[in-house]
Amino acid sequence: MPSRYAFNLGFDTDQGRAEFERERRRLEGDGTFALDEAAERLLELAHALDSGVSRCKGQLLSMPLAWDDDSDALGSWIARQHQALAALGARRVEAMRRENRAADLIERVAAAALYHFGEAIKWNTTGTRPDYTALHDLLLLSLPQDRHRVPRTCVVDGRRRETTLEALYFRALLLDRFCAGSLPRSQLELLDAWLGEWTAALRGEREAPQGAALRVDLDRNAGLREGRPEEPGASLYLAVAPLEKLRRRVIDELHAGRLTPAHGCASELRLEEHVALLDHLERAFHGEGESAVPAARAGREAHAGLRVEVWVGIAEILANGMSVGIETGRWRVVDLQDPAIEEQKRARFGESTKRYLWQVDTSATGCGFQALDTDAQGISLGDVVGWRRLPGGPVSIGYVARRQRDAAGQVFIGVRLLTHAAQPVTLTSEIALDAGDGRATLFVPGDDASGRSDGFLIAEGDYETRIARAAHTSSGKFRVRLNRIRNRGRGWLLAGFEVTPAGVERPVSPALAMEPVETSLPVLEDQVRADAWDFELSARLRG
Amino acid sequence: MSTSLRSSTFAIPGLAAIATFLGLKPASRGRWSMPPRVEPTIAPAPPRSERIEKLLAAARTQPDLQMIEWQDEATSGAEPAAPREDVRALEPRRRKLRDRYIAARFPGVAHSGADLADSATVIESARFWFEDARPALAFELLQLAIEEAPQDPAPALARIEFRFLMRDTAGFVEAARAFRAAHPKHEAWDEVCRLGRAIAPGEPLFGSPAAARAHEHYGPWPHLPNWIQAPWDLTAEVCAADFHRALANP
Repeated sequence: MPSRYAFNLGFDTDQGRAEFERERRRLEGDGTFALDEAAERLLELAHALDSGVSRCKGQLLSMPLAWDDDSDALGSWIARQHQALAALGARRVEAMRRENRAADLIERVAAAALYHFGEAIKWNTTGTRPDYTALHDLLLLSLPQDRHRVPRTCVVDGRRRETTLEALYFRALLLDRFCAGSLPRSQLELLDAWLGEWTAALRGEREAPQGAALRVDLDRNAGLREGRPEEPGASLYLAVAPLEKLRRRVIDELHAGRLTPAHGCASELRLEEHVALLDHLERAFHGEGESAVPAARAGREAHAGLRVEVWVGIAEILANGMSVGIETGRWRVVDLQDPAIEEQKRARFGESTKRYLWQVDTSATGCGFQALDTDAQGISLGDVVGWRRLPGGPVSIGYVARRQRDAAGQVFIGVRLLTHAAQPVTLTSEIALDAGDGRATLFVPGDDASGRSDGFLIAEGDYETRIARAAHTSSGKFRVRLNRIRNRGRGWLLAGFEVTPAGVERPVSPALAMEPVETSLPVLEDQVRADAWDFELSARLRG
Repeated sequence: MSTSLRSSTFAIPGLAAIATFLGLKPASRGRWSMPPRVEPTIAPAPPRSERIEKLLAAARTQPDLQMIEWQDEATSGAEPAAPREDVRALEPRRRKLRDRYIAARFPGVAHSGADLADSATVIESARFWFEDARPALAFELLQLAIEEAPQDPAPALARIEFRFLMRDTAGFVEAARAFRAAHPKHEAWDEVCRLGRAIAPGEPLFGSPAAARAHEHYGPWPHLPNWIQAPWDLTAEVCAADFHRALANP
């Protein structure tokens, strides 16, 4: 059946977007349609939105992490349209239930509403929370006779997909849980594609299952939280173990040279995105290290707001935070023509180039910064940043684990701490030809006094395991060989290393060193054979 | 804008009934109307002497209990693992994807599956991850290496020893069984059995206990064969502590 909506679906243009929005507003405001017809129109409009977004999504996701203004505007517009359709769908479901309309049509509209709730959450970058009560109500209405577990087919990204109302509900809630600014858009899209394949595991139970679980309180305007069975309220529990099992299956499939999903926009993402998301989910499902339970969030201490200068990237931390590689001109002040003097002069007026953020909370594992949009430009997820807690104190280093912009144009930046006491160390090659090629790096001491968790923060391209480098300290010279990658982010690595004692340099005695070297070769007496070929002939041939 | 179905009067027909039917607990803020409390009916307690007599009679009767088959939690309900295909015979497109995954997953260790044939590098990297409390990565790397070079026993033996160090009985037995299937006549099997008898005494795969040997104590950890190729001396550890002291506490 041809669609009623044969308009242009090019959402990357203002005209295409305006055309769609006009139709949507008309459907929202027009009360002349009968309930069933209005529902059918809503489903068609929802399908049109999905088709239009599919066309521009690939291009949006293939862009680097930092989007330009046009891409941001398009992403926000898509989020608003999904949100509007989800809310309209929820209202239609409510009205149709009141009028006792056909159950099949009601459930189709409910499925569309749940799906668009999830899409709205996925595309929304402002961090505003959805109306969870509307989501819960959509599920509650389908609970009798287990209608929420009836398999149904829906079309997503132009492909048919088997799902249930319950799976769509938990998909929206899981996306909401992971949409806290810690995953870039491309990885959210991939996560959504995986959730589409994991329908069987998206089941809620009324009793808390064995092992880790997430809990949703149907009574509250809240999403999925860590499951605590003793809390009162009408709850559903989502077991984590089946999700972890499916995560491992994704890894098994990659071992066999197959991608999950095999088709669609997510299958075209770089493999590094798959690996990063697998690691993120492992931490979310398991916690870090040997603990078998998801890590509890560290206790936070709110600050009134401490203004700190922040440096982004290893080079900037070394140069501005530790003055490594900066010529101060201290010993050359007599040379009035020295360019360092002019540079220092200019640096006094370089305040505008500095980046200041407001530190708003701290915890044992990191801290949170608030920034103006302009100050936060150029800071992306995974960037390494440095700052000082106290003037003249040691430099703290961490990486951006969360970045979320709110509606007021402020950006919250969550930083995962690496160390509060970074030290600049220059690693020099032991190969004579490369002796002048010393690399300034950041030494990141671990908590353990044995040094087993220490690391060097280095640029991605500097990781080399075969060559040992020399590090000079106040206690002498050590030979250091990088041997493992402990952590990594955008352009940086935290490399573990092994230390061996530097070889003892034996002084050469002056007498030996001054002795002339004999360069002439000894004269050998030429022994000419009588028969040049005799040794090549066997005794039999020689007779 | 969304509409909430929440109202004290339940405008939607049947919603209150649905909630009650489902047995969901009533809300503290009036989401569902609280059903009237039903007090449980309690039968009148028999006299104390009668109850004591009953208890004593029950204690004299020998209970007829069934033998409980204890099943290991890790193995119970586990689906039989699908046989893994030979990765060396993968079609080129899948082979390329596997290689790309290996390079992305293990940067600095391997650029492709072929690099995993270097078992010394693989075992060293796995040991580092094991030491850094990331055993899942260590086992994944060893599994990939075993698939790439099934004729090389070194990664399989390292995996067995890591399982032993983790005191992972089920994992140890599984790894030992896989090793036995791949290398049926390998000389290290006696050693595997010795470890197996220590970690899984009842497992028939490892045979009956044997007498202790003359030189049981060897290796960096006592009684271990060092298939994980850990260094035998502590020079690196001492140097690491010195280095840490020099830089962390200047």
